[in-house]
Amino acid sequence: MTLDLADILKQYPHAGRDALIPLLQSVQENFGYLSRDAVIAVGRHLGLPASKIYGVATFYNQFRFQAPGKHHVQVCRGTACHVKNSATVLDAVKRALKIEPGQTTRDGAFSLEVVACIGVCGLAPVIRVDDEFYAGMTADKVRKILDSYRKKEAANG
Amino acid sequence: MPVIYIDDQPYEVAAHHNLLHACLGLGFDIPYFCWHPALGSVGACRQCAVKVFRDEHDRRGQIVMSCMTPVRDGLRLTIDDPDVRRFRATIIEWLMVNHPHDCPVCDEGGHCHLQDMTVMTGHNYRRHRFAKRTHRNQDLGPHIHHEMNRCIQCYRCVRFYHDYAGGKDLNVFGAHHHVYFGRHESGALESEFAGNLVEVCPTGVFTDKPARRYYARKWDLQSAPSVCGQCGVGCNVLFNERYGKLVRVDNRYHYEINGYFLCDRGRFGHDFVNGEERIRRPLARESRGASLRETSADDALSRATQAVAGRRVIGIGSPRASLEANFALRELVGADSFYLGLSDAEFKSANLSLALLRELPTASLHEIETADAALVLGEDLLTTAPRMALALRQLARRQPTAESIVACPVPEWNDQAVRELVQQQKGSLFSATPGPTKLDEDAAAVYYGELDEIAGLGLAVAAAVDQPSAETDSLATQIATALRNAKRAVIVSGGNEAVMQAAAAVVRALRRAGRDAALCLTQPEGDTLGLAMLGGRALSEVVRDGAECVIVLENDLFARLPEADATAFLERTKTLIVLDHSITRTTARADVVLPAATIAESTGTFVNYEGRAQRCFSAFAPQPDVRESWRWLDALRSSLFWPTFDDVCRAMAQAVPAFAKAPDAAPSAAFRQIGNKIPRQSPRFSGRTAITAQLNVSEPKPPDDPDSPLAFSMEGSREQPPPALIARYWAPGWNSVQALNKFQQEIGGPLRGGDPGVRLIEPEAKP
Amino acid sequence: MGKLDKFLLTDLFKGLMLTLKYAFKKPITYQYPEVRRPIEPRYRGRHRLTLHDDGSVRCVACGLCAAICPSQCITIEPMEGPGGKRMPQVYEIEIGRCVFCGFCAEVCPFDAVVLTQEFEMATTDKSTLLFDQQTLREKPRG
Repeated sequence: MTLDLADILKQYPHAGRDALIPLLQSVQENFGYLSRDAVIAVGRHLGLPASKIYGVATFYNQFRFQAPGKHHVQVCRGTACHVKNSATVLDAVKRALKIEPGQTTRDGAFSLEVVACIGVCGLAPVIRVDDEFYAGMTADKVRKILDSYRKKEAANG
Repeated sequence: MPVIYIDDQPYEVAAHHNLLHACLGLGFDIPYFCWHPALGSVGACRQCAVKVFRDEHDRRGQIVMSCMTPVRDGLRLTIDDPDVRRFRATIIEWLMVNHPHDCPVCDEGGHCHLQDMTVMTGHNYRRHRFAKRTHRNQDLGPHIHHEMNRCIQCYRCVRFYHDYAGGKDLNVFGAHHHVYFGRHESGALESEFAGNLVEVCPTGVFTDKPARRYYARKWDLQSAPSVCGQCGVGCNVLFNERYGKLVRVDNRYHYEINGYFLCDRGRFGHDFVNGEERIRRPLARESRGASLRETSADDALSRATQAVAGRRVIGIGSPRASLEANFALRELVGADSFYLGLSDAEFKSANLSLALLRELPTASLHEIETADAALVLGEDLLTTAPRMALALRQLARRQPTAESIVACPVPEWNDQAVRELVQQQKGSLFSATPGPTKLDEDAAAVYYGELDEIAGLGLAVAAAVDQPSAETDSLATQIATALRNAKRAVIVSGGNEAVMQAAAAVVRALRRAGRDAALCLTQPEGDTLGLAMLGGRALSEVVRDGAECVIVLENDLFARLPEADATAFLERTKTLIVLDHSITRTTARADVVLPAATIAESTGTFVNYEGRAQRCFSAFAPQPDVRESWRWLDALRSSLFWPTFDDVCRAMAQAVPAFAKAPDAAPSAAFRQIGNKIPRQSPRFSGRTAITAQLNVSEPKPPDDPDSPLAFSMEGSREQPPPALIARYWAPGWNSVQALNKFQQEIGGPLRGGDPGVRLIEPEAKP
Repeated sequence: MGKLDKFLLTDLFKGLMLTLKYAFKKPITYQYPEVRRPIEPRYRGRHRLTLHDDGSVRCVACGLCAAICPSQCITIEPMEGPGGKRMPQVYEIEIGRCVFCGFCAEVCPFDAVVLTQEFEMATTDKSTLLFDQQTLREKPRG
């Protein structure tokens, strides 16, 4: 968290509705997600109702509405991964974490995101946890990887 | 007019429409979802596909969306082609993939556009065997029930709520397979026009929450055409009844007034008909101090007759009672003893309105929508006449469109393109009010001030219209310039006398300058203007005069008079006879209370703000001891003068010259269609023979209706009735409100046979 | 017919022979109500409201049976049951007017109303011909 909300809004003085997306992007960059309060504050700044801002923000996959977890899991659903059955992988992650894409687990340990392509199509299907890439995923491997992160967490404290 | 060829048959159609509009107008059935005559086309649902051919030799053709294709001369198309039919069937199958198919428990079932279109398209077998996408519903407040799973993503709700009505809190969220229509969080919808979502939504996503309590199908409802009495606009409504309860209020299309939409006050504000506070038996007390007890109608009438006989009786009328009831009271007590039941301010404003309407032309809501500039003086229209505010918003949206289209020729019905073109431009709508109103954001300029300052602004505008000056920095000059530049201008005002006079001055100035200008004056209640036309004394005089016996017609004196005056006046009164449908502070002090029928149970005439007399018909017969007010008042006289409604209406037309045309507002009770009355119930009305079987296995005779050409029955004429008598919108294959298409001369135009009602006031100045 | 036949009462004896023949055969008539005639499987008799396993009615009070009923003898007043479930508050069939066409059972989207094989509904009191929800839930006799 580098800037607080007021500072971000200050960067867009007298902004109109055309500044909405850049503003939301910088809010997300700083806070990692768009909180309800942030959305309302942005709305007040731009003179737009909250429903309009949520309408725009939910249209795009890039905006999150829950704080990201300690570990951010990205599942690639690009063409190559799709062909290599990434749907099963995503399903396995969802079952293991009991969340839907865009959500964060209750303990705040994991958050899940679906991305279009990570750029390592040769290794499909791919998931990425934080900065680590895992290639050739299957449902079993997913469970093991996520368990290893859980264990690491437990060991750390 | 261009000629289009449908299956090689030539048809003449209007040039400025799209193909869907034109074909529906010609009576062809094309399925559609996203298009709405008042909202235009966006081409979102892909349902209205037709095949267009290049020329008469072209046999292959091309599939196009009829709602996005302009009409042009010589266009050849076919609606019923195997390719197009297959295309439409595929589209609807795809729309139905995630639809829950819960028609048996859905409140929309039976008047659902999606059902109609599915049947029309011929999709009758679901092949999708997988899980359906589901959504969470929101609590949208006391009026609208939300059931998001039923959504087919036509976007009509947002286009109405957000674009048409200017609501801020309903929007569309998400993208592709998880599109969601609702609020950003649960909560009551804020717009005054949210109730229209019920009719705009082609399926059961938004349904009428109060009506859910009664769970009735459209075919089981007994309905009659009526008029909303909640404000002076006089929107046309349909009252729907089942089991003696008012179930639902629907919009009744009137081209000149409410068109397709109602405000929430009209749609949800008639619950008093079923209310706990209803008076259903005559009440009387033995002496002052004794408590009110239920009694028989005969007893109550004889007590009232005794009280009236040989004494000076004064009558206090009401702006929420029909003209006939007020007239009957005036006949009973005599014109000298008849007081209009209006507060001092209302009395002055109603009389001034009448004088101004006799001098200057006025405008219907449709004329407001299509005017070029408008000035609102002093009125917060969203509280005093909400439907008029919606009309003014359409003016503000339409007027910049009209200008932009000249520069960049986009058809006006192409909604998305027009909105891209117009962006944030605002039309020539000006508002001057004592405080902020919801109409402000549509206005080009807003002025806040005290009422006398607003009147001053009005006079300054009038002066600036008379003498156009070069300087344009003052608000008055800016408004005057816009009004002078307009082909047709509308000035809206009401309530305060000085402000109304200022509004009239602006209209006079514009007319002197040769412009077409109209004056619209809001009225607080359904029959305020009618009461002023009937004529009577001011209520403040009653306090001074006093009388032994007072008859109060559907009115609460404590709401009209200062507390002390009302109490003092009622103290002095020996016998107080009150006719009302619900308990008020006045009925609590009455000696005899006669239960009056509500607007949903009575036949009567109401005069709206433009002086248009409109007839309301009873949707259901009132309970045995409840009668229409004019019936009670007629019974109080020595002998019955008016056995039926037509008698009292004709007597009124003869006695009061202003109401000479009032009987023409709707066909008389003698009207028959091919020898038959018009049924209030649909041919599918269920349980007719068994509905009262727990009381008596013999089927009872349906109540007679000597007052109207409508019958409390499912039997009668199956033809399309004249517009004033339309009790429901239904056409073969069209069970939803969209069946309205079949009742109009032209889609979105006047009803077949002309719009009902008759204007009673002829202004001296011709428009 | 000859005079001889008339004299010898031939037709009378022919008739008596037939009677005699049947006197030794198995009787065709059923000794109702002691003996009951077997009923065809698709016989349409008294209605019954079918139930879920937990004993609640399957009917969701959509009103289709009442709408399709040609003799208009079905009355339904819906209500919201536990958990927002729709169910009939009143479900009445006035059996005296019913023509047993079976349209109600055919149109029901949940097979909630079926026609049983019970046909014994004769009564001396017409008011008992109004079958309410409780009566309609009961399993038919026989």
